[in-house]
Amino acid sequence: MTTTLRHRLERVGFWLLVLLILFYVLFPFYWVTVSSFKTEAEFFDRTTFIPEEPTEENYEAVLENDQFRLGLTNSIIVSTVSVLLALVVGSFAAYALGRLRFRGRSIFLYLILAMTMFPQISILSGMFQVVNDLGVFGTPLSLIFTYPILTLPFTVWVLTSFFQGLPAEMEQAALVDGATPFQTFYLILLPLTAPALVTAGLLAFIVSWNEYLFALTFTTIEPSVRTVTVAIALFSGSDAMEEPIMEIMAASVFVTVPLLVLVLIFQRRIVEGLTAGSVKG
Amino acid sequence: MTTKATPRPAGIVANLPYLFALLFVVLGTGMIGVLGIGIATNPELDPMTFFGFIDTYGLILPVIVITLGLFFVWIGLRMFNRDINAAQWARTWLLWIVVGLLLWGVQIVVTIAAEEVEETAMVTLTPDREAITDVVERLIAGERVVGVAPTDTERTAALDALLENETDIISGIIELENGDRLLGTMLATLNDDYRRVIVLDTDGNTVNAEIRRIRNDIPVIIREVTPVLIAAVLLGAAWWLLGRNLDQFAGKTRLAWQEARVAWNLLIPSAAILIIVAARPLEQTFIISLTDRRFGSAQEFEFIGFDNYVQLLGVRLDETPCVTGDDGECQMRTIESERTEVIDVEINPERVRETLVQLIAGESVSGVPRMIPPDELATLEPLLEQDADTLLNAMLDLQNGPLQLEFILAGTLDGLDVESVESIGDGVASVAVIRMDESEAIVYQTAADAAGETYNTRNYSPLHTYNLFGNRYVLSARDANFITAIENTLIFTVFSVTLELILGLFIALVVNSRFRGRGLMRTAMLVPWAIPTVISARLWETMLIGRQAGVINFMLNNLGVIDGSQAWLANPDLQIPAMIAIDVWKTTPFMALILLAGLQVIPKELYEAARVDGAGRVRSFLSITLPLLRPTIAVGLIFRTLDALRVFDIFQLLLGRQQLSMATYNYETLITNQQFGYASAIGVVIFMIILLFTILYVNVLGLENES
Repeated sequence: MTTTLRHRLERVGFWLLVLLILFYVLFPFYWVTVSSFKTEAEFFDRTTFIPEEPTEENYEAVLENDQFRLGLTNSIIVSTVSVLLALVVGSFAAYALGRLRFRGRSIFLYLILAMTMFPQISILSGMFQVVNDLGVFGTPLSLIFTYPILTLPFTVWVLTSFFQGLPAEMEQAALVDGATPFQTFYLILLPLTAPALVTAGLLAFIVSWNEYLFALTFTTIEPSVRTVTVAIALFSGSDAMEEPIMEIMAASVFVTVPLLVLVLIFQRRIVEGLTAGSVKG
Repeated sequence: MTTKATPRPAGIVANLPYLFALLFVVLGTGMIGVLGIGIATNPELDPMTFFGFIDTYGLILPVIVITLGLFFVWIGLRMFNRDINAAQWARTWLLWIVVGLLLWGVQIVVTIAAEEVEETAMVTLTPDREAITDVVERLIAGERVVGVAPTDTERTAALDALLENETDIISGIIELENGDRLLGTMLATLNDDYRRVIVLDTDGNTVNAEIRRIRNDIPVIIREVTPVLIAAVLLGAAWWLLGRNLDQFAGKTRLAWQEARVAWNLLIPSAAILIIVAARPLEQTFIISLTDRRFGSAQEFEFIGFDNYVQLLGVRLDETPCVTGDDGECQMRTIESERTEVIDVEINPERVRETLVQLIAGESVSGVPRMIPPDELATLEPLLEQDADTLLNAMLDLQNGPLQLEFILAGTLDGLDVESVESIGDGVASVAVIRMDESEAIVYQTAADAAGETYNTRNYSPLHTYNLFGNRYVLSARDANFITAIENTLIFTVFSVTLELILGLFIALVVNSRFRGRGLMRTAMLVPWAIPTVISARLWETMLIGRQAGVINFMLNNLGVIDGSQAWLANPDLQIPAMIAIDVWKTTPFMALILLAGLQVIPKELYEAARVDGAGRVRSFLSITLPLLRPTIAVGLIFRTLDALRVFDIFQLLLGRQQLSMATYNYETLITNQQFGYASAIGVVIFMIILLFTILYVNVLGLENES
């Protein structure tokens, strides 16, 4: 009797823990989502967990805001181009590092690994200078150009570990058939890497979409090229004195939901990508 | 090596290898030569100094040019011997040179197109009358029209009259006082291409004007780009020609060489990008950090060595002796400090009742301000006959009742400063009173007095005071902001990473056990990770606000953790803890996922074996899970620590300049203060601190052996 009782108590305790963790993880986003549908009066006067009079006026206000719309467009352009760049260049390097033997391979691999932790902030002023020298300061190119420091190293890393996991027979067969290594790469191995490309691409997209430091720094003189994160950070409403908090919440939800949908669809791959290399003994 | 068996065709084709050999020798020497001549003839490098050279060219660029140049010469020399491997390297490099040249061309176009050149031109305009009428109407309505100065009452009336009388709008405006200027600004506003329009005269229908507009420098672009394009086309042709005539070269293609060549071919784009976006900026940052360069000021700047670093990191610790009086003893001073004490006081029931009766009757009582609305006070009336305890407890329940009671009681307690009434019972009130304590303290010298002259001349300011072994020490810094920023960042890092590790491990252990909905749980854990940091900052900002709307205050109040509302983001003592809370929320799931992946590769048999041996859960956690999870923990720790050390987004967005992290200080110095050189030095110091942590981790946790 006592053992079953104890067992039951343990089960209950366990589920309480699970619920507690879920609450901790999900509540903030739930709160901001719910609040974005409230009227300003309701948000400031009462603490309600379900909006009493749901309204979409906050969303309407945000979508009419030029800063926000422009930011959204800029973010989409910058992130998409950065992802493509990282995938094309990164898959080349990953194939070389994962499948080919050459002198200097392990040095390069270590360099890439070190680069994944490179502190972006410490080269801010040098990057400023480089961006200026290239004449792209204050244009979307300045971001497309600098984001590889964030996206390229881990793209190479994720793809390299994927290439290493592919069976060796495939290339050998191709080589016997007289294909060059480069042909083997894009005719045989690249199609096989589609899943890893999706993972790496998605991670790169999220990193570029969420980036703030460079986006803030390189667009200081040119507000029209701000990305959406900067737009939300610098959001100002019609009234300059007070932060338009309701609009900020609506904007936050609007920007995050597509990201969350992507993440939820590809969750298994993302977890694999995130943990790639971290648990190899 | 060379096989003479291959028949050699006569004529130009036979000599192609020599041609290509020559091409590469020329390319190689040319590259080095151009660099050398460029350096020697650069007018900015006169007189030539090492620093001037480094500042203009850096080290990476010359090293790459010289290495490639020498490599090309070597390839060329090998091609004289018709070496097939050299030819294939040559082909590879030709292709990359062509790609490089094309990118250079693009860069020239972008750079020149980005340069705005203003030109002046005389034009005849046919203004859009409707659009101008529209602008006039908006001006009359008092709206702001970008680029057009708002009108005063007089002019508004004049404009109104124009519309009323249906005069021709153009000539009407010109007739007004300063009308030509008004028309000019309107025309400039209506046409995006014009920066400025100066109206000269008008013949009723058209306007002659001088305009300023941005000119696109197409001729300059063509002039600059053409040579690059020609070079690209020529070398592209050479690449094609070499590919067609590889059979003119002799020797065997070595498989290993071929593989290495393909590998480098594939790595070159990545390497080039990483050099441009990481190595070169790092080098630039270091070089600039040795100067006193500023934005905005005239381009004059000087090489100042490590002065920036000395300023940034200059700290000193001074022992500050006490100030001595004439007798040689330490001077003392009296310090008053407040202390709250709860004491019981007897209530004088008659007096209380008397006061209340007077208050209810609406009379004023000396020393007791009226704080309770009359209708609320009236509810006490039926209780007046009851004993003092019931009466006063009823009063405590009224809004502002406790406050009013304090004043009533204060009248009965001589000279005591009543802060609050805790409870009433048995004719005794328990009240909190403020007492003043007096104590003696030694008077110490200030750090500036103790340290002497250099303290002030080098701009030190005191940062912390320590009392150790009866001595007093003052830590001073030349840049107190930066040292504080380092401290903030270290506190933030230590607490957030520790909490993330503990919480993450806990969550990972829970999720690792089998239960229905585990997949869902894992999905939910990705939510905070996927939310942009800027947005998670905004999200917590709305939850942490110190008003009714702040849901954190609401929940903590209901749980009884805090009383009243806290201004989490405005109170300096709570700002860093709030940052830690936000970071922990955002990144714990990431830590948990990494640890979960580590947990899942631990063989289940180990746990079964341990259970058979009678080990409990705690025991098997300590002797199986923890040791086997160590490498994963190390990876998670290092990732998170390095990430936390460069924290920027949440500090910049939520705290601005109130409390700085290393990264926000760097940003503020660069963008707000425009101190280019100084900001670069901060960047280098951050880099060094992060490097130090990495080395520490690798050594302490023995990461090397794991990967």
